[in-house]
Amino acid sequence: MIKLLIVVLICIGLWGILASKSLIKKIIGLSILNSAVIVLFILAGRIDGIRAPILTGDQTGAVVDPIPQALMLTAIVVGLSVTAVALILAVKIHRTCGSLDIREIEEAADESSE
Amino acid sequence: MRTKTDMLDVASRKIAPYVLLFGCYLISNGHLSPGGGFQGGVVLASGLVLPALGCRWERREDLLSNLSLSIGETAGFILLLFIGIIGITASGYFLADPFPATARPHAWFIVILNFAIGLKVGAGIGLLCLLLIRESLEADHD
Amino acid sequence: MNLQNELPVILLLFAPLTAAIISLVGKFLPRRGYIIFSFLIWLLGSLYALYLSAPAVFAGKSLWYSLGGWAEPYGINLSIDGLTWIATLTDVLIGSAAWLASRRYSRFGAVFYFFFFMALFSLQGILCSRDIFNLFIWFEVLSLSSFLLISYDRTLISRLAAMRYLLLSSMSILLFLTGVWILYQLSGTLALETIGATLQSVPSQTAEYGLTHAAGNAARDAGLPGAAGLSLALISVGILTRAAIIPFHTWLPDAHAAAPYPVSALLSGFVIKAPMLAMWRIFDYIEFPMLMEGLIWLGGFCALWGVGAAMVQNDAKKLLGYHSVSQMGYILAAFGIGGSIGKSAALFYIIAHALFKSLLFLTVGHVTVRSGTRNVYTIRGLSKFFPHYTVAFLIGAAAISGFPLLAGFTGKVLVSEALHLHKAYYLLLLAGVGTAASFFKLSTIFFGKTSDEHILALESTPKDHLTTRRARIAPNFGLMIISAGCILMGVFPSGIYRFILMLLYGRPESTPSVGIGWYTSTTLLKAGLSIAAGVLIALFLLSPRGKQISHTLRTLKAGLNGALRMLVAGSIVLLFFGIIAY
Repeated sequence: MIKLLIVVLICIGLWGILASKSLIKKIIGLSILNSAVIVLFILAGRIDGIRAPILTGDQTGAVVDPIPQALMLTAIVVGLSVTAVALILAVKIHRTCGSLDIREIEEAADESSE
Repeated sequence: MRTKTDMLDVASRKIAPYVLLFGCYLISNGHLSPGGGFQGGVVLASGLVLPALGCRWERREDLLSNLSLSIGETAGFILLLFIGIIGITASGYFLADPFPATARPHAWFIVILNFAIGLKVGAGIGLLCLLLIRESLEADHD
Repeated sequence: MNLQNELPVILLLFAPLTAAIISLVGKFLPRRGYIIFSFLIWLLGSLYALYLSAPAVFAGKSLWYSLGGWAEPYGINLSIDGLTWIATLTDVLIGSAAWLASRRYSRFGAVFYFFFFMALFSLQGILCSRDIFNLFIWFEVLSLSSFLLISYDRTLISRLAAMRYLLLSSMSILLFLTGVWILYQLSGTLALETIGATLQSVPSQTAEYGLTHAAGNAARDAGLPGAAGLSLALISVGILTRAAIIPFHTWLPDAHAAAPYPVSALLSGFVIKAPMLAMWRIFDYIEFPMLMEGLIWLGGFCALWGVGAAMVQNDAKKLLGYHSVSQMGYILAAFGIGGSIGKSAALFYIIAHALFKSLLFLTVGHVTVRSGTRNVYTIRGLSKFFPHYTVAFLIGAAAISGFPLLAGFTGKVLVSEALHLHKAYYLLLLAGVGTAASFFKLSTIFFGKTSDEHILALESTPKDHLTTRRARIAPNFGLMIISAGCILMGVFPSGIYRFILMLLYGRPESTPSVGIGWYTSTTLLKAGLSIAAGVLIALFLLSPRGKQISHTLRTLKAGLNGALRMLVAGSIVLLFFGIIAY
């Protein structure tokens, strides 16, 4: 069930990146795709009913795998930085070009390079 | 440019301290419950950003200037480096645990790390968002 | 902590990081002395680390450092082995040449050098890392530094190029992460050696704590070897995008054209090769023969496509960028063959290409900046104004076209030796002809008669050129060293080849001894024929009819949406291949 939701999220993210004309929507799509992969990763090792990965007195019993959580924390930070850079680039492109529509931006870029 | 309503202005400025408090809670309880340095830091940053987004131009207050956030971010990073280097002198590896194994509570090292990371992340992300927001607000009002 | 074994690794990683931090601190200092200081720290630190690790590495051992003291399979391991050693040496050469070239301009300040050294830091990390998630982190640091380096000039085109690289590389790295997820599910660990051992069903010592890793154990009990093929395909998509192989290459020509030319030299010279070396590392531990076969064909078509697109370009730096795509195809095809000959051919060509491509970018970049335009059809006669750069350019262009006595000729001989029994070899031959053609076309900018408006542009110096004697001499020094390297690789190929084999496979006694005919009549004849055919094609391209055809073909360029769709289509094909072929 959750895997189905992840597939839906991936499709939404891909659709956002591929089919949108606005640069900001592409960045939002990328962010959604990022979140989908992160949720996918965290699902590894999660089984209903087992405990959090903290050592208490008794050492028996299964715990949730702590590695995917730690990895995905890193991946979230990295995704955040990339989104930040993307947004700043989009802001600067908008300042130069006046619009966020990818076709207009590419026309302006082609004109300035001819 | 739509003006911001009074309700938005008052609500964002009243809620912000509680968001900041929640961020501090997440940072300090990171070793026991979901949370920790990064998550608490991001909530701290959102607590800083919320008033900037909601307040009206006439009643804006620069609670933390860009310079002080920058200093906070650098301080967090240097603190992290310092903790790591203490680890080198204690057990020979970067970020090794310098506390002896019988110290109570067991998780002192994680608490200190959470604090340093929370400071860095909160200041860093807050600075990032506030730079963009303040720049666009000034551009709109010039 | 065993300091003697671990110091080289730590030093190799700390040197560029320290240089980056010094550059950052230098932002607050009034004078610019920190730039040289940071460079010297990086250069001397890296060279000293290479010197320290040389005895062990030449004897065939590798030096390991576990981060935080946690050994495999729980911790992150970094190591220097033969491949890392020689790749770091190449990296130091290219980075130094790019740095020396950047000293000409005053606009490169603290922020530029910070990201420059962070890029070098992450390149070093990719070379040393032996943990698959750690590779992801280094890739992302590299791409973040590259975005800022590419868009340093703040023009619309450079920002658009950086945005395109951002979207393409972020999408592909998410596929890489999914591949890592599958591998983690299958083997319960992230260390490459342990993953390889687990997937080959050799028992490894994991799960010794009382806590059980639920996922790893469950997957191992269920036994899912087929998924490993899918995960390798996903990982390759992620890596091949950064290594600029078709159909994921679309970011490269724009990025290399729009970036300042020292950055282009570093990008083409090493940044697109490090992911390939990471893939080498991963595939060393996890074998997958059918995917290698697919990679050979992909490399062949990539070489041909890159050259085809390069021949019709009118922008000098875009031409060089498409050539990078094409040469990466050569490297990928050689790597796909595998075995000692294939891998050493790939490494030889990686070093050769790094040398001559950065030489080309540094020379063409400088002369196009001074001429004010990059149009290959309108610039003429630059040899009168830049005699040294003409010589350096001719060495680089001859090298890449396959002239004897230079690095490219011997590299192509080695790649032919690896590939000559495979059908994809003919694609590479055709690509060689096209390479000679486009470089003949490019070299026309140095000959002929300069037009008057160009003379005007050339006589005025751009505003941010530093005209101190040091700033003018420094880039020439870098060019000289790299030209010397090109010539060396062409004149002493067997020595270098034996050295590479020793680094990859251990002691000289145990290296496979293969006799390679470097300068035989067959190889010289092949080189001569392809160069001659190339010159003919180039003459056709320079004729009016040729220019018309080029113009029509140039307008078929894919925009951003097209590039993204090509990436998705290509990854679907590769994934399909991965699923059905394991």
